[in-house]
Amino acid sequence: MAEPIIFDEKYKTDKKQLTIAPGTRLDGHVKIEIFLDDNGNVDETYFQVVELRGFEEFCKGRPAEEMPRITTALCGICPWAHHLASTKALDMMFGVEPTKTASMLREAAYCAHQIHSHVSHFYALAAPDFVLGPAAPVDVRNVVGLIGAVGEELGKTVLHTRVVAQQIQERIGGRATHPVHGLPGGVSKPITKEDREWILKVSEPFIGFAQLSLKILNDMVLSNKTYLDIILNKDLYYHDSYHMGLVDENNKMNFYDGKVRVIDQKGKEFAKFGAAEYLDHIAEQPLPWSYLKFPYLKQVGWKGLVDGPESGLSRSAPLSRINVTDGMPTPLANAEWDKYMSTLGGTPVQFTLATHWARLIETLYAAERLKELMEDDAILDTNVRNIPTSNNKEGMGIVEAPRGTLVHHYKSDDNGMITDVNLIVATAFNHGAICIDTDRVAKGLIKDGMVSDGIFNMIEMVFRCYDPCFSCATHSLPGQMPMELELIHTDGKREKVTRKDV
Amino acid sequence: MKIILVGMGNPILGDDRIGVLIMREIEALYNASHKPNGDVIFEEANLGGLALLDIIDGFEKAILVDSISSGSYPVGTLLRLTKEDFTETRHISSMHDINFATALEMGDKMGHKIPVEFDIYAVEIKPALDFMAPLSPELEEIMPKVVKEIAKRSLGLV
Repeated sequence: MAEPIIFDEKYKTDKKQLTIAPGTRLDGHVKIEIFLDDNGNVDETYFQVVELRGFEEFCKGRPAEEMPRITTALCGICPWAHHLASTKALDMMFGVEPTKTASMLREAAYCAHQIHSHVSHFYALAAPDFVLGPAAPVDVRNVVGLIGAVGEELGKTVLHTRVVAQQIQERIGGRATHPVHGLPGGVSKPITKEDREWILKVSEPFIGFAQLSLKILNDMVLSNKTYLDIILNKDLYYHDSYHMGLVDENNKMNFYDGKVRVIDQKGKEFAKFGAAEYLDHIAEQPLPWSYLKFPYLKQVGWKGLVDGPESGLSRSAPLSRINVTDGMPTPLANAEWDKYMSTLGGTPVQFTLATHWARLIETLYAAERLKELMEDDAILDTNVRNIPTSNNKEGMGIVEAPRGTLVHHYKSDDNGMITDVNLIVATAFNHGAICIDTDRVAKGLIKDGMVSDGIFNMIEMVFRCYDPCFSCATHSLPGQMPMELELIHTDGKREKVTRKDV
Repeated sequence: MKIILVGMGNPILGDDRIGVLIMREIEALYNASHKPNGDVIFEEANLGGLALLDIIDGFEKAILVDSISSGSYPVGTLLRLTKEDFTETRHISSMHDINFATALEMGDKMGHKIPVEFDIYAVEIKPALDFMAPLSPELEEIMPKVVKEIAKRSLGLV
């Protein structure tokens, strides 16, 4: 197999502002603006997001029990995350705990969702940058090029795994993309013995595939000294942040339930809170240049887009979840966690590119956990719902979306009609971190006005680590992502250079 | 011939849902004159890339109806695109998925049954950013004509 193309030839730019704008049908969903000083070095970088409006208003006046179905329409990428955070908020609002089996079914479907999402992300978005190389020509730096390099059998397995993971979600939750599963106090239906046998059969290869994916990462990325140097370079994909993620009663990772654990830059537990207490710990800061707010830790306070102990920013993604857990709850994933921690120096790992490794360890955990849940006879219990009898008129639910912590918070009137909605999505939690990382990578790579396509892609690789989610962008026609460079001179004059097919 | 018509868009996001609304109208037209026999399937989707590949896999013809915000045409203009319009821009198109052309190429290489015939329509819209927003008057006005046009061209409904 050909060696990856990691670096390409630089050229001199005399421009003062570089803008990388992955435009979609919704005009400039994301824009990275890089301001250069008179010497051609990076002065400042901005990562901007367009936020869709009116969802909270759309929800007001609707019956609370509709929220788990409405919120899946918010985003076609992580519908199960919204569905379950919403369902858990309703559990609290209506003062009812789900039955044991209902919780197991919710978690099992969610494990399948995590596998679907993580596998798609790694092979379609992350791996081409490494296997083909960040500076490889754009027409091969994609999943088709990846399969060309790694082999068609792997491609077939990727597609098959995605399809099967979707089918499992559908079998448990009625629908894969817009589930009709969660209800306050439980779920809409139990599963049968036949369902369980089918799920165990079709999911049997998941663990092996997750292990194979980790081997590919090891062989093609971690064994490559140049990549390892990039990953471990503290002037590039690195910053000292707090981390957050759900853990169970043993401080072990859980995607579906538990408490949010926050650790500091030394790995020490900084806070731990349940959904009902999230407002005691999390606040959001608007900034004039961004539509999307910046959540921060209240106890630290908003200190701006800086890292270190004085920063109130906390990351929330696979990197963070792997950092806040005291080991993985399943044996194979835990062995990988040990290897990860020993290789990268122990928690908290602050190397942002390690997020891809963390994501694959999570994939292995999800596969093992799905098997565990399905092999437990309690999963077949038909008691899948406790009927609510009260209305507390307020509820919060937190789950770990594939891309980080997700908070749903609702208020209702006496009749259970929604009066207020607040959502904090994972990408918002990571917004500040993406800005800091983007700035650091741009500063580390652009010197004296020397740039290249490979450098621009390495800057984009920052946000691919976080797998950020900006709803509704994914079905856009004609499916292009023109990248736009905009250079702003010190006198304010702008020059645009559109980059296509990148 | 097994046909699938996919209405694409977010069903609660302003003009973004135009593809879904058109699909629903054509489905009603079709059902009024045909007994369901499984030859023509109607689906909604707000996903592209590999997710769309999953939906159209196994069909001989795929009709895709979506919105587009190119800024190059008046709002409400119906555009007819070809697969070539996609292959020209093959690259990663979103944060979450590969673009449609790459998905098709991957599916083809991996032995999936990719439709041999594509009808791809897009209605020009203004950027849709508001969940509550009603359909634009321009789109309300062109809906009946567009529904009739697509139903006739792609499914032979008159």
